[in-house]
Amino acid sequence: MVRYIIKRFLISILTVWVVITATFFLMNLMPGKPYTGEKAIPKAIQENLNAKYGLDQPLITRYFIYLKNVSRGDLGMSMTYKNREVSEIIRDNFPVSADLGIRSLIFGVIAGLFLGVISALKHNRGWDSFSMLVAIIGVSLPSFIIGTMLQFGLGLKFSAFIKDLFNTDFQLFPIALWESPWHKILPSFALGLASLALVARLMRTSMLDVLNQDYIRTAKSKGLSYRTVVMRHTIRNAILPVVTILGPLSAAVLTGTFVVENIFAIPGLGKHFVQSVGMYDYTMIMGLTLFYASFLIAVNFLVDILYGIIDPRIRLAKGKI
Amino acid sequence: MLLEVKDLHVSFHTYAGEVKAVRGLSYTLNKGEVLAVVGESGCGKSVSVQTVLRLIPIPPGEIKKGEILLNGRDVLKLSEKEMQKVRGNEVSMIFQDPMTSLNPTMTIGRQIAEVLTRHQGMRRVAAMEKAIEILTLVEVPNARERAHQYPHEFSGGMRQRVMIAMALACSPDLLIADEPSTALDVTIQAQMLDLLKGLQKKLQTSIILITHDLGVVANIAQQVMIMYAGLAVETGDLREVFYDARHPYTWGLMKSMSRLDLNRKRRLTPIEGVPPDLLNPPEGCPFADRCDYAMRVCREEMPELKIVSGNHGCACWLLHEEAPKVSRPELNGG
Repeated sequence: MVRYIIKRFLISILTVWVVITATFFLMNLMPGKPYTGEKAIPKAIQENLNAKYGLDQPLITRYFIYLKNVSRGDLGMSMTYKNREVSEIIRDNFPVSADLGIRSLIFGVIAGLFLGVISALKHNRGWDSFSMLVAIIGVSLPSFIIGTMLQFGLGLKFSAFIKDLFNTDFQLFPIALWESPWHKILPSFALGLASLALVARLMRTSMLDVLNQDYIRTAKSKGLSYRTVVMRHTIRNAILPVVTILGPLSAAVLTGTFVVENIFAIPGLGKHFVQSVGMYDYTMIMGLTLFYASFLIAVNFLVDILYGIIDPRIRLAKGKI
Repeated sequence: MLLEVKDLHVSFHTYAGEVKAVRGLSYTLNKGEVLAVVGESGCGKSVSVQTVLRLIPIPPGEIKKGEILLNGRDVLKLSEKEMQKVRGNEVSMIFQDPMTSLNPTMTIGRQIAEVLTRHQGMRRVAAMEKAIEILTLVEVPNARERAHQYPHEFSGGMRQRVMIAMALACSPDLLIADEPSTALDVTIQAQMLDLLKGLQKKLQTSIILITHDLGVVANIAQQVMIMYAGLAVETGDLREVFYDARHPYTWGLMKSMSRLDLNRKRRLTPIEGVPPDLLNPPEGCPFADRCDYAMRVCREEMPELKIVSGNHGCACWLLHEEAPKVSRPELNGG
């Protein structure tokens, strides 16, 4: 196991290096350069800026300088925000994105598992149709539509109704911003609905498959209670495909935060990720790509280990890789 | 009398219509006896025995009629809760395919111990000890280590031993073995049957053994029931059915059996044709279309099960006093 982890770690480093290299050169292939926006900047200033950020060096030299800096943990200064380091921006904004992402992921996975299990156990009955309706809505409606509808329906109309009814100023579902826990409800829901839908459908299919397996019939023939058959024998086996997609799912949720952050005016990292490309903020593009890539690699690694714990068939034998 | 099945009818409702899988089956089983149920695939063997444990899915399945008396109690009238106390405790079952019949994410020991904690209220540690003991009984080597392994670390034959261990954990009165050796290779099949036979002698458990291998029957059973299209066509003691078979279907099964002790040049004779579609079972004898001796009455009316002698019963019009006398064909000198 230790050898496996070390090996995975080395492979991860290699992956990160490939990501850095590809992003670096692709980014430089983009037409345009930093500080060549709408405003014409005097030539002298342009040269000074280039010198400050090392842009006057040849591409290859810059590449190696960047690698050296990254290996020391230095992501460089942002090219658009004055005197702000990229790592500082990440430190300030990522917790908000992560908070939103984790909330919606937890909501999506737990509610999705619940709906999936229920609809498989009540196959072709009311609950099943209801769960699958929710799942289809979640799959087909993008988060910005869900978000806007929630803002209008719950944030505006419903809150106004409550206000009239109880004569209070309390906002149960604030429309935007990121302040109290109440502010987190609508965005987490908007972002989590897609994962909920995916997990629910996957869990339902997987449950139906497992319920038809011979070993479930064996479990029944042993006289176990319905509860035990479902909890101990069915869910544990059916959950495996869901665990597999947890990695890609968290990737999708994490990069998807941008849209939801925008709608709900949440000060997260997503905004910087998208804006940096338009602003030719080279260091920011590099820094955020690198950050997201490492994060995803780490999540996938965790998922692999988790998978091994749940499914003994792929658990690694001692000392073997 | 341990088990008495009376006029059992089981159907499955499918899109195409009602499939009448079992159409009026009656049989009995005494304590300590082995009953072999023989017949082609799809003739209702599995369904009829799974109904004893009420394991068929309802819907689409439906138990239309009949009684299943287990120690005098009709299991068809028990609630699901009471039924759970019967399963694995009074009656347990071994399935055909040991490769898929064990839960892949649970250790063997726990899967056996689970039955003991459920039915005998044992603590987990004690149940595990008992599980190891039972694994030793079914001749799994290194039982203590093996108990902590997962099914994928076991071979097919070993897994079937585990299934047997699981089934026998609570010393049930009745063990139902649904083609326990079909999915295994031939040498392992023989071992498995020897094991079952040995355990049966030791534990005095009654067994219903489903098979389509008459060789297996001769080896282990005392009672035989030949099934065809959801009906029992011939029943009786092993000797009666083997040496004095009366039904043309039984003759056909015997002629299609390979034997080592006979002339090797003789070809096996298969029974031509296929069993009837149970969506629309024929009105008369279901075997009439494939029978060499079929008469007009065979296609019009189903013959009753007639007692030939002692326990020996046979449902065939040839046994009617007005039927032409047909002598049993030469069955390899058997």
